[in-house]
Amino acid sequence: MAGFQVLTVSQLCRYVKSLLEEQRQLEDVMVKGEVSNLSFKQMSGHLYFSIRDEGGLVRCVMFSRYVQNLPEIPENGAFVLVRGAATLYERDGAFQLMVYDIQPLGAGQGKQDMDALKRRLQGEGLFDPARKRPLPPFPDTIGVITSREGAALQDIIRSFRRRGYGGRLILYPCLVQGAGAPASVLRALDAMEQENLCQAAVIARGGGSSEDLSAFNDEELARRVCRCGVPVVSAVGHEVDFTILDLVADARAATPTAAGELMAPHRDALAQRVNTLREAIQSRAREQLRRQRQRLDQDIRLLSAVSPGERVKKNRQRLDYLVRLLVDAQRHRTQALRGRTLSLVRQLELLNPAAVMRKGWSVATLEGKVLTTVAEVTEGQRLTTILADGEVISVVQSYHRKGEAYAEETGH
Amino acid sequence: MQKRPAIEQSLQRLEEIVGQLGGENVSLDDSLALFAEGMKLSQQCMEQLDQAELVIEEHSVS
Repeated sequence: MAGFQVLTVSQLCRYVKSLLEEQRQLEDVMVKGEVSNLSFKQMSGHLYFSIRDEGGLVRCVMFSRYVQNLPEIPENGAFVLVRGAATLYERDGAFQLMVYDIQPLGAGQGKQDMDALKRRLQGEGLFDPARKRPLPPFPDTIGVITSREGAALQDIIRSFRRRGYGGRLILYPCLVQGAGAPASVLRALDAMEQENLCQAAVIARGGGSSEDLSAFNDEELARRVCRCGVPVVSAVGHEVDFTILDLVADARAATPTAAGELMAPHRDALAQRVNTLREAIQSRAREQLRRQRQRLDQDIRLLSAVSPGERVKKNRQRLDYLVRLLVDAQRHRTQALRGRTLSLVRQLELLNPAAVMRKGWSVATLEGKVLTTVAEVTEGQRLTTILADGEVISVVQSYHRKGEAYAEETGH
Repeated sequence: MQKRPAIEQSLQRLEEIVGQLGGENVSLDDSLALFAEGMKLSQQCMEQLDQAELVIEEHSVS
């Protein structure tokens, strides 16, 4: 290295700075461009930003004494005319403008494009709240689309752990800034959908990284997120700046930590839910058993009414009744018969010769034969007359038929 | 990773069971089976919750 003068970094920076500041043309320049990376420091009152166009970017710093004179602080994306001096910020070795004044020139091209895209997508209903899907209440697998190294991933993991989330986090790594970022996020979404493991996804970008949000204002990404099979949460913006991704996402979280809280169910909430369901099942099962028992009791009543046993019992009752009827009828008949018999006996008794004889009648017999006509007797025959209490033997003296004179009288 | 019913699926099933047990025309056998399933599944859920640790994976993006 002989012959070369060795410089310290500070010496080099100071040398380049002096070269810049020697240039009269750069002492007071007017530059037009689009504001980005704007950052207003409340404490110091200084304003830091960049101005850019398609081909380049210049960092700017505006000290508080100049900022005070501004009617208003420009927004990111504003198209402005800046007046200042070119210099080098030694600490960063960075070329920058020390700005004295800013004049608005209207919205920058990027902002105009973004506004036009916003209007178009809005017209298609892509921001419509009705189109947005609710996040699954209890996802067990969540896709995280962010950079592998960024703070966003760690913020989300911390947030999940704090909630006792016992699910699965799958990182689909992607670029979150630079020209390749939109395509990279799209590939990560594709990979996630192809695997079909996640019930929800978050596209995240850590705080503290570059202010360049252009990757998340990409039209293709916006449309892809709308078509995504699972709800998508955006956690890429700022507290204040909304990207187009924020507008199309199913939910927007201000920070990756907030996204974690939005997506991961709290373990206690889950346990509570399981317990509530368990208790509901127990009480409803008890209610079912009670109802079943009631129904069973009713069925038993209905069944027993038609059971054989019951029919036998009924038939037996009926039989008893019939038997009683029969017995009664028999008794009646017997009684009637007995009555009839008695009356017949009485009638018979009336006909009993003995009884007749008791009334004074007698029966005359000849040689054991009852005499019924006078033609059977002749005079001198011995007749036996039977009386109730004995017999009288007599001899026929005379006889005559009814209406004739006595034979004795005529014979004498 | 071991295949297990996703907690959301289990919760959905538990909700279904609650709904079915609330019905008018459930047979005794069915209610007993639903009750047993519900008790088992909710027990599994609680165990799953107690044991679950956050699993972090990185899947490649082509």
